[in-house]
Amino acid sequence: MRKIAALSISTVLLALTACSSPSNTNTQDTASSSADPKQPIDLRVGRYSLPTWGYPAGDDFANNIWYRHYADKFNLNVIHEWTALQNEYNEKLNIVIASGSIPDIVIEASTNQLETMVKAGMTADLTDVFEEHASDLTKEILTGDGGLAMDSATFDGKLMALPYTTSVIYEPSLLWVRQDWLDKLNLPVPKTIDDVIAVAKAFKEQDPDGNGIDDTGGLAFSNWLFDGITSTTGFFNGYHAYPQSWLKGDDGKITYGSVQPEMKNALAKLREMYQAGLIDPEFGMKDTTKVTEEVSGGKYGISYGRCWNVYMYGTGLEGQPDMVWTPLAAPSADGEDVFANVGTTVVSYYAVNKDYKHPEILVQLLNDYNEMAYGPNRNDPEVKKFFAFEKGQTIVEQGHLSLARTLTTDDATVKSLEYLIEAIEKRDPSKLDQALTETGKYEPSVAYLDGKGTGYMEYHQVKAFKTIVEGYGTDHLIPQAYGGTTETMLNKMGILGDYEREIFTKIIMGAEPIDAFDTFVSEWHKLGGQQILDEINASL
Amino acid sequence: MKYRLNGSTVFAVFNKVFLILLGILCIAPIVNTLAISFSSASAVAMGKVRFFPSDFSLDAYKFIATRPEFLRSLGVAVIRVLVGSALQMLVTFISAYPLSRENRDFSMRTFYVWFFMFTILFSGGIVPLYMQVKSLHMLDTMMVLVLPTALAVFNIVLMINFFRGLPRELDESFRIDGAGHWTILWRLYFPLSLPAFATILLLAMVGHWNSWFDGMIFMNQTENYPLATYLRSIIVSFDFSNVRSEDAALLASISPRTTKSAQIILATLPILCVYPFLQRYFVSGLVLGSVKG
Amino acid sequence: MRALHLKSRFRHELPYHLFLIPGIILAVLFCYIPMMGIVMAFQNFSVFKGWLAGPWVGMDNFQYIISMPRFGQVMYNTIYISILKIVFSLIVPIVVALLLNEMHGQKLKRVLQTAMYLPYFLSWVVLGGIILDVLSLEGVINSLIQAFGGEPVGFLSSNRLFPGVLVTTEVWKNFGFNTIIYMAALTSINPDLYEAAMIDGASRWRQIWHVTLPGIRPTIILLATLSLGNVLNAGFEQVFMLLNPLVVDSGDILDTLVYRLAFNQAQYSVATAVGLFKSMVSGVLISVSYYMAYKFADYRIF
Repeated sequence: MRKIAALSISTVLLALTACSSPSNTNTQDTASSSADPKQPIDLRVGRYSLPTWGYPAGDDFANNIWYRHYADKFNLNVIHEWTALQNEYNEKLNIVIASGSIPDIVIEASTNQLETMVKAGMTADLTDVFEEHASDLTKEILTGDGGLAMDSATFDGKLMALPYTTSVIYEPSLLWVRQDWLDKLNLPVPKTIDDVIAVAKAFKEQDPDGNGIDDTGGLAFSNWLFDGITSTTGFFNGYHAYPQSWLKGDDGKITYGSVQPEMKNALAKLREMYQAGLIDPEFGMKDTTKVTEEVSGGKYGISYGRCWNVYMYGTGLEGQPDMVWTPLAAPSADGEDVFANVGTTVVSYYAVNKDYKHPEILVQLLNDYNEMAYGPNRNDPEVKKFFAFEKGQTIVEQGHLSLARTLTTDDATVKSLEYLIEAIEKRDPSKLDQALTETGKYEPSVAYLDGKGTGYMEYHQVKAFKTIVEGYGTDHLIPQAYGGTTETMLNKMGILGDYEREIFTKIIMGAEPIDAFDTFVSEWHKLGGQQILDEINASL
Repeated sequence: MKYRLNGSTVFAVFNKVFLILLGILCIAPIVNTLAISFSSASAVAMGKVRFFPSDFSLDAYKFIATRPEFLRSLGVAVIRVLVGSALQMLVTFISAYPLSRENRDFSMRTFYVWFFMFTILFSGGIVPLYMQVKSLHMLDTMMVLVLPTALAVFNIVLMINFFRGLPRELDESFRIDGAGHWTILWRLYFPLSLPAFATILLLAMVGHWNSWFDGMIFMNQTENYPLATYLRSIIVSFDFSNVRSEDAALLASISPRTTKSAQIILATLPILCVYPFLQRYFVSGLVLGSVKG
Repeated sequence: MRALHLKSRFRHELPYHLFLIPGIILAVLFCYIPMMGIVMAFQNFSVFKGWLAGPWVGMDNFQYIISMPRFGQVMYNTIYISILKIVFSLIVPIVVALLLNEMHGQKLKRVLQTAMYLPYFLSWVVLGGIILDVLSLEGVINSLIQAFGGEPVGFLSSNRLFPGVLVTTEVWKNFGFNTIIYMAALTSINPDLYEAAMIDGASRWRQIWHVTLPGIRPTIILLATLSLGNVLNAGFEQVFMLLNPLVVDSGDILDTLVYRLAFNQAQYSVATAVGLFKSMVSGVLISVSYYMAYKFADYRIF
């Protein structure tokens, strides 16, 4: 998966780089508002799409309900300067940035890309525009995480981009267990790590699918180890270890989760499980796509992953109509509370070309989105049309077509999830209007519970929401304590990450002794890790 | 009634068996892909499919029939192959001709050969090329797919070597008859080098058909992607680490392996047909035999 | 006298120059102008700000690569794997072309040739998954081994076997396609030579040795020389698909290393430096073999 996204990046890199003609022309919309207010304002963007996106009849990517609304409301003429499919977007944007000709508004730039653009002086300072134009709602959402997101978009005191904020509440790595298999083998729901191991053992040895063939396995995870699905993150969390995250220590200093001593205990346990045959002997060769396919195909019934995992596993429903999953908060190794390490509150950034005459448009677009998505009129059917439409039996999303967006803050998300869960349990959608997000899960879930409709996946996700709200809430999450990129990180983090996965895999598979972890820790610091930590701590 | 087993018949039998086995080894993966494309998604997920479809289903093909993208990019690919190969063959042919001369006949030959060789050894990379294409206003046009590839130095070098194998006397005799270079090239070299021409044409067509990277970088709108680029974006999998909850519903519609396989099959078939068609020009001895007669 | 000579020479050669004009224009537009980007190898480039505007860092980019952990091992792997690939990718297609040439039955021959070039069209992304399946502990090959009473072999987890897997699968993917070039070369051999050899009473083997092989020798030398240019390209896509933590020691190559350096960020300068280094090595190897072939065999490869 990441492998291949990677493949393409590397092809660019291996093909090398540089430059020829100084064609830094950024086609300017000199056709401006001051001279003739009727003259539409051009807005050039580069956008990604997914082949799975749907449009109402007559609409398409470049002509949709949002763009028409922009034309009416802001007199904007949106031009797709270029488009790419989602998994190529980063690479294309890299080249566009490197060649020095970014569009008027850069949509969803990564941290590194933002950094490159800011250093090269390509983006506009949005400090004043934001102060002047941002609505209260926008300000509230963007600063909803206590200002971390806005800080990460601020360079030398100047706001150089608007963060696309998200809620990290979606991210804990849960334990997903096949309830139908548990029932069949008369097993209780696992509550401790030992239970997890016992269930994995039973699933492997006691033919839970009842087909008389020894074709099931124990705990499923992929060679990426810490992915969003078929992960080990939740397992490590059970040992109070937080792999691949920047943690704030008691002394206020930033440390790196993967080199903390708690990791070693979890690794030792996984190694034990591997030796006992409870882990695929070839997991080191199988990527996430492959393992996910095996899980949905009925080879595994226990695996760690995020709240959306059933959307992937559900493809196996056709062959296994009894398949039911139970999401659990990651069980603890010692009975102490389990915390989950999650990402940053920023998905990506919106930046404005410094030569663009109307930087305020970005802020206005974001105000507009927030107003429609989270404002008082959000339940108005006319407004709802912007986010989803009905196509035959199915409801198709189209909120992603808007040019600027944000997601709700953690607190708001938790509230919404609580309304949703309550509504489903009571079969009473009346309070659902107060929720800001996820309300679309109500109908399908209820339909599924009533034995009609195809809300299997939605209902399972709601179950996972419940697990998160009850098992973690907002106070059992450990967000990344640092979201930026330091100089050494640029050069070394990729290598360190690979080194980390290599050693962990070898330890689990028994190719290295368990004490190789100690060597890894010292090597990690030597190979640049210490320098990165120093740089991070110096920047705080 | 000669059933005598001698060395050469034993060899012939072994040779045949060996080559057939080798052939089977090469078809195996495409048969596997074919079987997957005709199976149901759940049978594939359970790992049941090897060389025969399990739970036969045409769903994958029906699904593709509803996606306009596939046909559109197939169209782009066909135009690209036709125009691109024609251009490449023309440039290859007229460049190889002077470069296949002796040094005493064409004094700057060595310089030119290295001038071209240099371009396959050194490259400035993708960003300068992107900027150059942009300044030539070729982004998002068919030109960018067919012009940079029109100069295929590897093929020119191959063609030079084929030309060199042609008998010089014929060349001389044409010249005595007062024929110009253009006439010699098309009347003499072209018919004589048909097998080489067919081989290089195949290289050119396959190269254009398979090339995906330029399509991705230089095409500004995904509608203009050639098939190889489109196909790649499909079989390249999803990055799960960045999945947001709001995208979750989309996950369910990530194309399953059956659909991917069906598209691989559909994208491979056309180019497979090219080879058997060109094969007729590979008949041994055709070259000199025909001239002699 | 001399001027006259030059003039007539110019007039004689003029058509040749004219023939080359399209090629030269294309080379300048799409190769030579962008080639100026090579200066980036000596710069710290992130965004184009004009020619030579990037901060100069001299050899820093090269030093950075060499200072990578395990750089020596990676270079060794790269060269080892690519040389094996070059050798076998050269020999196998020749052998197969000769065998096909010996085989009777035009129809079968055509079918087989088509079959053999099939894998060429499947990308490593697709083949990677299939190879993983076939070579896994539960895969077809290991089932066969077990059926004959052997122990299952971890083809993709053993440092001893992994380079062999890379070479075998690469050769398997591409040999059919390269065979086509040799098949075409075989057609250019004058049939009279075979007739003459047969009259001399030469056996099939002797004919192959004395007529066929010399006949395709230029093609062999040419392809061998050109493939030398790949000595630092051990096949990125393939290795990337099949590499796993257990075989990093034997399978990590220059390109995968560079990829890791640049993970997620576009480190164009470093990539350019590596590219330049690879180009220089290829250039030297190709030039040397060009002059060797000319000097000792009096043969100009191109």
